Amino acid sequence: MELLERFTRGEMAAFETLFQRYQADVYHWVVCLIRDPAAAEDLTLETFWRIYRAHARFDPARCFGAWARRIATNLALEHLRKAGRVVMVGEEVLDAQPCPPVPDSGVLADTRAAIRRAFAGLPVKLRCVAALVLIEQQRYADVAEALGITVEAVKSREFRAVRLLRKELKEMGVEL
Amino acid sequence: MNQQEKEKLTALLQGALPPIEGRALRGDLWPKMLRRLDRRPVRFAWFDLALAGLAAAGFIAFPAVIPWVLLQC
Repeated sequence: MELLERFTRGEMAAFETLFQRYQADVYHWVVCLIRDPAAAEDLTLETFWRIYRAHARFDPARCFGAWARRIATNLALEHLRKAGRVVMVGEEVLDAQPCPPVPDSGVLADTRAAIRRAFAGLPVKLRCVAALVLIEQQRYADVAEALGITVEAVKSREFRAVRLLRKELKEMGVEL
Repeated sequence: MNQQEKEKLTALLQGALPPIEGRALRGDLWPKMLRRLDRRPVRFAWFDLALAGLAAAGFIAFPAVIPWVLLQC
């Protein structure tokens, strides 16, 4: 029997296989959205907890990864709304983990701080799209699927986010 | 906003908020998931609770039926 069918029947071994296969992808997606590694772990577990509870409702013909991302995205949006602001990952948090070196952008510290403030001030829906499309360079189609909206809607949110960011930055004295 | 301005804004954003790319999960989360699955609360359906309540009320109102019920078991 196919793995997804076994999962829909509530077989724990099938759930474990799917968990092992998708946990890194779900975690990475969530951490891109909320930029907080510790909270991303909790939300990854919460995502799979909800997946486990909803196993009987899953259609095996669907893509499991896309479904998992959709659930994770909803949880991340909820988390950001509750937090009321983006958890600005401090470099001290991210620096604690191994990562590829970030090229020196030549951006001054106060400019970086202004950009972070402007980004944090974006509405959650626009901030998510900005984080995924502009910062993480995710494909429009992937973002659209995870948010449950069309590619055109993603592009519209991106446009609005860029316009708002430019306005905010201009007010903070940062010219593009 | 043209493409050039968008690219500049993207570069500024990435300078201030470095992409998460490459920051992998620190370990396997399956043991934590198992612990979470193990401690899930026992849930009763409302129907089960209502049935238990009715039975308890019946036993309180008519205690004489208790020996008869026990005999049926």
